[in-house]
Amino acid sequence: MRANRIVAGVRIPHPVSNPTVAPEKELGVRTAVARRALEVLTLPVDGPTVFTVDHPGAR
Amino acid sequence: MRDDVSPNETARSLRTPIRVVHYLNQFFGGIGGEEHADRAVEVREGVVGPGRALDAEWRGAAVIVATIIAGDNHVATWPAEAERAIRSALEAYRPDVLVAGPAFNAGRYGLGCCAACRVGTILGIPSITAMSPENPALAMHENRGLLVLPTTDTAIGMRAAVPALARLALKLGRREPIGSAADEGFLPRGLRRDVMHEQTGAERAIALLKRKLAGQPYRSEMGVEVFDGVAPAAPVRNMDAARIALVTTGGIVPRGNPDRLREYNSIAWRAYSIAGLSDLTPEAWEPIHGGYDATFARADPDRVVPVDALRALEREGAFGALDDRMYVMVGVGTAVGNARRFGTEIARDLRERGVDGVILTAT
Repeated sequence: MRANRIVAGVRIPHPVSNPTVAPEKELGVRTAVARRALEVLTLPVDGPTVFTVDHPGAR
Repeated sequence: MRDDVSPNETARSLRTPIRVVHYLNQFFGGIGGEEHADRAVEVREGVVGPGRALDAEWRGAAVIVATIIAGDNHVATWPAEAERAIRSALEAYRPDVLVAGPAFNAGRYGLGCCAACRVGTILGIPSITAMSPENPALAMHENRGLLVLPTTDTAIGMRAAVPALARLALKLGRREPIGSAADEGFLPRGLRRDVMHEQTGAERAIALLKRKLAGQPYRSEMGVEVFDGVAPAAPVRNMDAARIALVTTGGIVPRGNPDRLREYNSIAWRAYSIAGLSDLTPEAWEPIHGGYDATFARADPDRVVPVDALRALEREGAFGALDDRMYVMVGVGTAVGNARRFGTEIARDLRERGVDGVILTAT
């Protein structure tokens, strides 16, 4: 794929979330992914670059 | 690659040569250089300039009955007027085939050649041109279906371009079947044609694999799609004040899919208001994407488009504001041409709305 700023998602059916974590923790996963996406928007890239999310639920 | 003209063909060609109309710009048409680039479309009887080389290739099997010459600026500035004039000329001469160029990497000349070929095609006249694959005219959507032979960037490649152009033009003029892009040498148009083959797919696959393992040349039957590269956008400078929009290919739509977006092979995108929404509830939103297990997204659509998380971050001041519109596509089995159009249209909309950054979630 040729997108330039790519945040590694969780799974295809729930790319920004993780239904396997405890329900009260799931919003935390989404927020971590979204926060990383906002951060990546401020970073310069030369071409397609994959960024990981540093959160235990976002794997 | 060039086939020889058999005695039979020579005999037939003596009776009924293929009638060709040739399109040139003012430079190759012998009128002059840039100072004549505003010249309107004109028509000359017979062969002009590079047409002589084509003529020599055909050895009487085809003849150029007329040459259309147009100034590069004229065609680029007044396309409708130029196309009308080209159309009149083609209707007057009614050729068996239209040949345009070669245009090499000359952008306006490429535009003219493509315009002439589009007009020819509309009139039912087989049309072919030749230019560099990098010619900007070929990046235009309306020119994607044209028959184009590749050339070098400059007219240095004229000698190599002419025989290929002459060969394929003759085939087109004779209404002979045209083979695949790889067989005929033209630029791939992204079209597939069904053919009958005496061997099954399994047999052909094994034969291909054996050739590959033996280090012999082989050619896959599956063309690999070449995706356009996009230059990265500059980083968002001031996230504190940035307007961020959500775009998704995950097919999350208002419950009941009021716009009847397709679950597969998408032909349209939609923007839906998320103004004032703190999250996407399963009562109001649902996934209609035909390509992933929708169980998780049906239970909570925020798992595909994290509206709830972005609202929390918005309140926290992590960025300026979340845009009121969520852009929705259903990204499964979507034709690349449609996807390209969606991207262009959505990007235009985002720009008009003053959006600074986009988070696109894909399933």
